[in-house]
Amino acid sequence: MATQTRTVRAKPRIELEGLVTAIAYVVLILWAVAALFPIYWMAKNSIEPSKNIAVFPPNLLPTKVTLVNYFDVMRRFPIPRWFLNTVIVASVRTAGALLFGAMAGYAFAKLKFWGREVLFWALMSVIMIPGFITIIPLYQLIRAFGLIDTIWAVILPGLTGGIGAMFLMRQVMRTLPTEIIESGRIDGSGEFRIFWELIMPLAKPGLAVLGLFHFVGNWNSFLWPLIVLRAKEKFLLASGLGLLASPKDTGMGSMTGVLFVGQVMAGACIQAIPIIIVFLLFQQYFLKGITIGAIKG
Amino acid sequence: MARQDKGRSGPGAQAVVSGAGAVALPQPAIYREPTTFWGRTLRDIRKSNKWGYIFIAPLLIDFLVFTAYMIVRAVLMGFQEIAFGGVATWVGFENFRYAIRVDPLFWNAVKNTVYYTGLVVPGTIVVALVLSELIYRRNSRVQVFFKSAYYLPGVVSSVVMAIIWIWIFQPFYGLLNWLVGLFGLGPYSWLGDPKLAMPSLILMSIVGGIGAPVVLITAAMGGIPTDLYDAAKIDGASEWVRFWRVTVPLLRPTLLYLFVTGFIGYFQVFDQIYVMTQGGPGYPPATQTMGFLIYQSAFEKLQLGRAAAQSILLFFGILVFSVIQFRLFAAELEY
Repeated sequence: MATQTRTVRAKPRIELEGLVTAIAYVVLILWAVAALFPIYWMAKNSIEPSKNIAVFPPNLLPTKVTLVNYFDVMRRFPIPRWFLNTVIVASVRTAGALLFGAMAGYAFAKLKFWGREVLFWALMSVIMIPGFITIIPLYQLIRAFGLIDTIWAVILPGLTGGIGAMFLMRQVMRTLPTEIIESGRIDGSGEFRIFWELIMPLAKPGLAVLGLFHFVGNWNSFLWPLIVLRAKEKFLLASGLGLLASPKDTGMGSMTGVLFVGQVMAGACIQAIPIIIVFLLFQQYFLKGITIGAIKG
Repeated sequence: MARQDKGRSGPGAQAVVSGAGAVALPQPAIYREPTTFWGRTLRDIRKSNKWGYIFIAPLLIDFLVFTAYMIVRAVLMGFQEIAFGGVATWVGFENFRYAIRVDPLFWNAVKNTVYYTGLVVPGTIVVALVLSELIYRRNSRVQVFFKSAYYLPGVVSSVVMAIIWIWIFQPFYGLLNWLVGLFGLGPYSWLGDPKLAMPSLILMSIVGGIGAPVVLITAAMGGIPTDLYDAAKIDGASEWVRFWRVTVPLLRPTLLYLFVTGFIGYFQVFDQIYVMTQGGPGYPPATQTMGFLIYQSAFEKLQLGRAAAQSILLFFGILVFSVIQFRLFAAELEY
């Protein structure tokens, strides 16, 4: 498109366009730096001793590299345990969302049963209701079940991935050809076998998107674990970090907090690096994935 | 009821069968296509794929127990006072009256939430729109690079981002004070000054929050037919005019989606507030948002009834804002 205008217009136009492109790149790069710099800053501050971090003006590059912060923070807090808890919770909940979300999405997209549309829209109508509404009675329910301070309190509610997983998988399943299901029926396969052996392999890209989003979401989930987990060693990484950095405790806003900056940053790295790696490995799924949920159908 | 209807509509049903008989599969001689609501319902239930119900059963159980039932409970709790042990007393509209008429913190939280959301959502969308326009013409490698760069802070936990930004905002050693110092400004106590705390949080949210909007907007831009641009070009429209008259109007469904989901999400902001300011500084607390107020009412003051009432009011706030946005966009869609 740009080349077309060039042929029509005279030479000064080309220089102007070059300038516009240059300005565009400057703006894009500046924003990219602003977006990525905090992440670099975390990594940089996690590998320096605190006395090198708390200086003004700040050193933009690391002046001394050490892993002492990582050892110190792990001595003060049961971080390997938090890591393990987080892996378990995120994996189990992701598996739940994949299986049950795909099942429900498949049923709503491809199986004909009475009440399907009414039920679908009844479920969708709840999407606007804020999580804060359910969190208070849910806390009471979990307490009544005696599950406070157990891993079940964070695993059970919403294990099926909820409306979001169902909706995303329905969008994916709708694009699959119905003939496959019919041919499976003609071959005499049971309905579950059709779903498991014919549909699931075709839905793999959609499943990858759903799995990645749920894994990241659960890895990062903060408020609910903060409410239902009490004992320090039962925490997840994100809620543990809240404890580690909260202004009440060793807040970095305060002068005493400055002593712990390196440790807090090390803790933050331990929580964030796995997710950053997952993101870099599966970028295209993340970038494509957001558009699936947004396109209404 | 159903039996009566069937009797009355008998002859009509017969006609349908004979009309479709030529193409339909062989059917029992006595089969009649039901024409009444109940008759059709009964037929549909009989013809339903039972596996459909089995497949949705886990989701439905999860939804009924942990969402639908909880919503009902929350509404009930809004009208109750719940003692520490869990004993509930019916108090009518007292919790709502207290929030709206008595509690000064409630309206302060409403003000803070609207302040935060009202700047973060439009700010994010405007920046995302501009950057999308700049990215969109580049080749796909450049696009993917910038989209990933903008998106990365969005996959990192909000707690981690909050922790990093505390240190960037730190009054003595913080990067931001060094940066504004280069221009001869500051130093400021970014999170400690009641006037600056909220703008600081807004700045942080916009810088890290544009990834998903940029991805969605560029995807939508790809769907705009190029002949519309060619037509505008033939009419002599400048790039600026083309952006405002072609691109933006055609992006309206995407922008509406971003506005509505943005408001729903940011209205419930919690993690950053908890980690960075605990609702402070000053009185009335400068960054105490609805989400944080509800958390404090429920889990610090242990007033579950009042917290439930506040959360219901938050829902109505979200509902009102969503309806207003749908109206605004719908009104502009007709021309």
